[in-house]
Amino acid sequence: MDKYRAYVPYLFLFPALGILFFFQFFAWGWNINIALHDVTIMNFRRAWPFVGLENFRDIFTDPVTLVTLRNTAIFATTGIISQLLIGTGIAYLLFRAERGIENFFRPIFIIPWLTSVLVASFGWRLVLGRDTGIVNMVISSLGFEPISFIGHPATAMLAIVLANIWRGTPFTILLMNSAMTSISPQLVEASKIDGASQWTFYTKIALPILKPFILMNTILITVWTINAYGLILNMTGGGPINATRVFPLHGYLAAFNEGRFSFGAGITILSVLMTLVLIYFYLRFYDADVV
Amino acid sequence: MSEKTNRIMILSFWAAFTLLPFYWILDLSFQKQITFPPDIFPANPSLYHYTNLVNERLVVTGIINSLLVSLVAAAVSVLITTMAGYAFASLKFKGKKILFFGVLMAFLLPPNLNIIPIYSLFSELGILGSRIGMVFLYQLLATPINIFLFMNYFNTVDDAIVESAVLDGAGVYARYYKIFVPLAKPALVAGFIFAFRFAWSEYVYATTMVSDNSKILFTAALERAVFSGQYTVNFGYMASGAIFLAIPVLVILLFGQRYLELGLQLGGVD
Repeated sequence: MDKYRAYVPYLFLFPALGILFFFQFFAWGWNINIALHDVTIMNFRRAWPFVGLENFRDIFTDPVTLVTLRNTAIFATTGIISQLLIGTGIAYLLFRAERGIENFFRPIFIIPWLTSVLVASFGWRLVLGRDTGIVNMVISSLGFEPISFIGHPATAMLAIVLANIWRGTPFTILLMNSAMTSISPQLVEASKIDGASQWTFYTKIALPILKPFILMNTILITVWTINAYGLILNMTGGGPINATRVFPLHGYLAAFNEGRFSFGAGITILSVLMTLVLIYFYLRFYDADVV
Repeated sequence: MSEKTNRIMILSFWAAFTLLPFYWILDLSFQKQITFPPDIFPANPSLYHYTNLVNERLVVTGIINSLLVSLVAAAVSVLITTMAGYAFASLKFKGKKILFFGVLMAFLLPPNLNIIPIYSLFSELGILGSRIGMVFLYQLLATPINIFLFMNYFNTVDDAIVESAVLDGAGVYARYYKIFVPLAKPALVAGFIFAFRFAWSEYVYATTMVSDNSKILFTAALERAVFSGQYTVNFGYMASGAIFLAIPVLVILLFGQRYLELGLQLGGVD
């Protein structure tokens, strides 16, 4: 290899990493700064009084916070478990399928992940809608009254969970499918020759190979399911009566609908901390070798 | 039933679930009067909602701005992430591991969570709601995945080619634009597709950051058109607008699937 000055690689890195780190890490510092001051729509362009941890006290004494945490728990638990189970199941069926069948279904399965959250939101609003939905056509043909899914608290939660599973599962299908392709056919053959049962093969050979992929997949969909609120923002706006107001959406709405920027900034910080705690438990669980 | 039929039935069921909203959007978008119960297949197909939507000035402005911002953002993304990918794949420098770890961490932080500080910083910098601000923001959405993509692609470039280029006197800059970039054409397309679709589809920032109607982006303009009635939702706009939003993705699937698969593979997803 030839010689180049030591700073040259950094010149190549700077445009991409400079902007990335500015937006992600510097912005996070700025977020903490906002959370420690009192920033509202009133003094947004003026001096910000320092208030320490007062915003966090406000967050924990706000009765809505508890509701949003409960909503996040329901939305995330059902969403993550369904995506993992369905995604891995479909990935396995694709893996076992003949090449032609796999090539037919694969592109179809990717589509929801490629489209905008707005398509997911509009699509499911129309499918479930009281005046527009095919689901309500079935319901009324069975002799029941059509339901406004996003108009009632329990069904609105069901609607956003469904739309999120629809949009999120393709990622798990892709990732787990490629993980399964990394198990070599020779290994499968060898285990057959050695007389290993199907069960032994799955638990003793396949699972250990798939474990790191399952971990990575679980971490990523946890981060996204807990923190991505765009779908909910558009589909229900957090309603009705806060029934779908998940924790990070609480922060967004506080900032941009109510002008309480510091309150919102505090919530995003807590949201990330919450995610990190979960990831920590995943890693502990993973190391403990219980799976 | 044999195991194979079962397998195909389950896969078909999931495919039906996946395609249901698309079919329904398409079906409703061609029905002039959307009344309950809607037609399962449009009885009198009409382009009414499409022509109405493209007659909304705000929506047209949004489509033009979104195309402009997304294309520029995708071009910027490909330019700067090929540079970074080249450095990670082919150059030696101190702090490589820690910087790469930084990229990974940035990939893990969902951009939605940063909207409050970015709103504030953009306001301080005077670029809040500007197209250039949105270009900066949107190219960023694809940065980590494109860095992985180009780094992995450049890693596959034969060492012999690089060594002979060095012997021919190609310096550190020339190797980037004479060897690595020209060899990476399929990856360039894949990276461009990724970055474009992130920018074109983005919703939360678009609807929050831009208040000036002349700079509005498509997703935000569409949202406003759909909910412009005080008590009613325009289902026709919802359906026809969703089709417009999905068009680039369909184009990618029809004509660029090869590049998409390559991108997914190298971007570490697949």
